[in-house]
Amino acid sequence: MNTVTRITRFTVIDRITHLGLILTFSLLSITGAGRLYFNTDWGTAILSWFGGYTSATIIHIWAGWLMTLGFIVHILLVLTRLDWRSWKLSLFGPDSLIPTARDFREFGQRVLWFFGIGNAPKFERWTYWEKFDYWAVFWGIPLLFITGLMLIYPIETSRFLPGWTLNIALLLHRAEAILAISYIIVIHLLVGHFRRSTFPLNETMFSGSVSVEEEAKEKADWIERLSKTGQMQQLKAEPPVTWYRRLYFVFGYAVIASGFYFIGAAIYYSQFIVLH
Amino acid sequence: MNGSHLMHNVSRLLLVLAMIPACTSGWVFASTDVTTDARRYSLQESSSGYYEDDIEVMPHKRTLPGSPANTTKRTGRYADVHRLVKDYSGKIRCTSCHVNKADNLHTVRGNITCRQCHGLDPIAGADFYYAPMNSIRKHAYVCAKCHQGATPSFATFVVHTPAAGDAKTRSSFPTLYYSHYLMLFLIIGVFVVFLPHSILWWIRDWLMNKRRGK
Repeated sequence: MNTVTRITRFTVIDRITHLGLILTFSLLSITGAGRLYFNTDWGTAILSWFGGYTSATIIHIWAGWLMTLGFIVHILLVLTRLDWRSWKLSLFGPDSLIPTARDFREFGQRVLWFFGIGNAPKFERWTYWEKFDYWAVFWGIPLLFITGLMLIYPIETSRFLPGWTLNIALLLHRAEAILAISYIIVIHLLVGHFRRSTFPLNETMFSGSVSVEEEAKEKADWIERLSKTGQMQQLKAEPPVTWYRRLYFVFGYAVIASGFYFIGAAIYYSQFIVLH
Repeated sequence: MNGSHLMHNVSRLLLVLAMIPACTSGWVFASTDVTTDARRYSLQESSSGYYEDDIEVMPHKRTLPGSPANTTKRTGRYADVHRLVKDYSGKIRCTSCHVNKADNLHTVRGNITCRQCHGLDPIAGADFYYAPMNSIRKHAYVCAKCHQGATPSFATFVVHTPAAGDAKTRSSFPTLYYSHYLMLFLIIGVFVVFLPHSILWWIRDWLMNKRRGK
């Protein structure tokens, strides 16, 4: 029996969805920041790339629609993947992203392990922080979509809700955007790529596959389950080809570098803006 | 008998004919009665100015819990709120007395002036019955200048948004105040958990790999 050294973690559709999220998220962050910082040099520079305040707004709105569309398509895809006959296992089993009691236990166990108490938890396919990242998008996008829609169509909104809810919508839209952007850049990018075991780049989301040897350390229970049930053979994957690897290294570093520049500039220029 | 019947019909016809110009030109004969400016002004301004399917829409007084209260200082029912201000003239900048009032989306982003909404002198208090800023017609006389189709509901948008985290906002605009702190605590909560978590993870990861000699 030939031994499997690499297995698939993310399908092509998952990776395309993630890429679409990266692109729309970046576009929305940049155009949104241009609008928020419009009275600073940084904001003016950003807006000039998009042809000014008005066209940056139009691009922001279209990118928002695109992101929402991607979100809906993703939900439909997830629903097709569910096995309704054994829905309990499908929803709360190890392959599901729904948080269970196990995640809370693993979180506690892992925090203790940080301080050298006890052993590191043996994770299944999805760890608690991966689940958190996933569900953060699930309340982030609907909130940003609804408040964004209210602000695009204020007159129509005021027919269903009092006009002052637009004040609230603007506050929520900004606060949620600030939370999402700072979380993605500070936590998601930094921890994802700049740990000693993942440096220089965590390739999993781009290559789609992981080395079994590496994953046996990080997600021991998942690998154990796969070898027990014999699913390992089905998930066998080839390592990514060189040109593709080069491509995503360039792309990944472009995004990471712009992300760090973005957060630095946003913090520096925040002293010159007034949140009206 | 016949003659009086004819006369009755003729007089009826004349009355109907006389009513045609009256109906089409808005009671031209009656409006000549208007002798004072105040009366003409009230005729023009007592309408809310907003109609939906020929029915006049009056602002609804219904408010939801958490609605903003009147955030501006009560300016009273006076036709000229600046009547007691010494040396008041058009040369004084609005912001030299109304400090920070220009820090709002309309001024900063919409690039419009105070006077474009508040009007020329004399500026009436918002409670002055005939004031354009009176909430019964603000949407039509102020908002709809730019926002086509503005409704009384739309006009409840707080243009001079108070600082969301300010203690005073708790009573003047409770929903804004609580939304602000909800989001602030959410952001702080996320980072209080995940920032130390990430740092500790990073250190542990470093040490673990060092031990392994990787």
